[in-house]
Amino acid sequence: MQVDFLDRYSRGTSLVHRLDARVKLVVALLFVALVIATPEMVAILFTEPLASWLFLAVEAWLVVAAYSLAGLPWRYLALRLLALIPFLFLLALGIPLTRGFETGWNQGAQLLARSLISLAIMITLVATTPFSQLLTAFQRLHVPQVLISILAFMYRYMFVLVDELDKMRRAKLARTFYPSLWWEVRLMGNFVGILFVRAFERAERVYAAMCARGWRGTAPTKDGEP
Amino acid sequence: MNPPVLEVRELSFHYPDGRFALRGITFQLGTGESVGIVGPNGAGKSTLLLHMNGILPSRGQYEHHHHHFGDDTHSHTTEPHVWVEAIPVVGPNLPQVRRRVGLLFQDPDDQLFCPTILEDVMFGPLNLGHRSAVARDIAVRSLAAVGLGDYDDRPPHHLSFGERKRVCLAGVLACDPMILALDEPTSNLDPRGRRQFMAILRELPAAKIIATHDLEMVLELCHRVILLDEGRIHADGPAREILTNEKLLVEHGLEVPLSIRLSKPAP
Repeated sequence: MQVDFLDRYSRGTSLVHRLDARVKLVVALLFVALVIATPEMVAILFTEPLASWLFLAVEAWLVVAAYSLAGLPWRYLALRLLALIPFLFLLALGIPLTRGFETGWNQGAQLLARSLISLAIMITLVATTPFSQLLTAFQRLHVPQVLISILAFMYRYMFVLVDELDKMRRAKLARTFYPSLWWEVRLMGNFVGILFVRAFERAERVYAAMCARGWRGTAPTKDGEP
Repeated sequence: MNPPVLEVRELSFHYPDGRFALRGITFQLGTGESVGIVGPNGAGKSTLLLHMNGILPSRGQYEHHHHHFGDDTHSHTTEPHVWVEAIPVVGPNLPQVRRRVGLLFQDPDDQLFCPTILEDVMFGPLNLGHRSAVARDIAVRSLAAVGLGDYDDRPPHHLSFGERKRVCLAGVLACDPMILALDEPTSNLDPRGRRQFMAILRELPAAKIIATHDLEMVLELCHRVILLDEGRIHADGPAREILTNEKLLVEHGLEVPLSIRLSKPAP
């Protein structure tokens, strides 16, 4: 199975890669909080309307610096940000429409900028840290075990599901002779339904496999590093 | 014969929709004995394996259904039908039973549910109550035993099917079971992977129940064969004897293994 959209670069050796996962996680979360709060905080200190743009520019530069320090391809970052721009754009567009056009444009643009910077931070974090290390970091920071388990299962079975979807799509292509949009849409509905049923049945088999190895409903304590 | 490590007596099972999967299964397994369970698709092989460590019947299995299946009489009692080392396989004994019986599933993706394979192999030992340092030692040794010693921090989706299958086996071996219940251990493996897997299985001292369509493997690994069809045992005896009985095999959707057919002189 060749799907690898999350962990492709996370096993590098740069300074950013080698940093302790806990440090990266905490720094990233604080940084995101800072970016989100930037316009409000700046407004308290400065009256100049363009001041917050200056701060956002510095923050953006910091992320880009961290990303280039990790030595990852720019295409990787750009593609992920681009994928989210349509949604963010709609959100940003909503602000001048609801808050009036005088200050709205500026606020909308800032929302867009803040979202993009925050996303870039998270992308950098995930792209430079193997997922299992992130989970261990969560654990050491005393995040509830249930949440960690959910994340771990999500990470594990995301690839299986994408793989299944891929196989179904290939099987469909092999027997599609006269493609039509309506047909396509109906099939998508089928796929989602089938995926759901399969995931449901797999969940039962996974649970059986867990019981077979002594699972009794509570997570064993893992204090070792994976 | 060796004293039985596993005893199954009058085991019947039907699914909530009334479909019978097992009817009156009775057999015993001696220490270190290997038995092949053969039979057509839907014969009840996997269902039988799931009973070996009490995954079936699950609690509540019988609570939501009605009885209207013709002349099949059956009772729903909580009496045990399976014993592992004389321990009845019922609710309160399940932890003890499950550490003695290792179950290998057909699809490795069902069994590998941790982000890295080392964590996955550690799952069983941790559940057995080992400290994590000890569990890690056991896991490293188990991975080495299946020839995957240096794979520990790889995520399961980066492994080939054969490798994933071997990680599953390592996860089961890490629990140090005395009985191995294997569901189609060689299906979908390439010849080399199949050979490797069989070589590993052959070296294991545990008793083995192998549900499979791979009759050649049964000939190599098992002295005894149980033929299951429509939930019933139709034959139970020495592997050579049953796997050469063409009439019996064909009647139950199987065929005489090629190696036997080739070694027999033409009539």
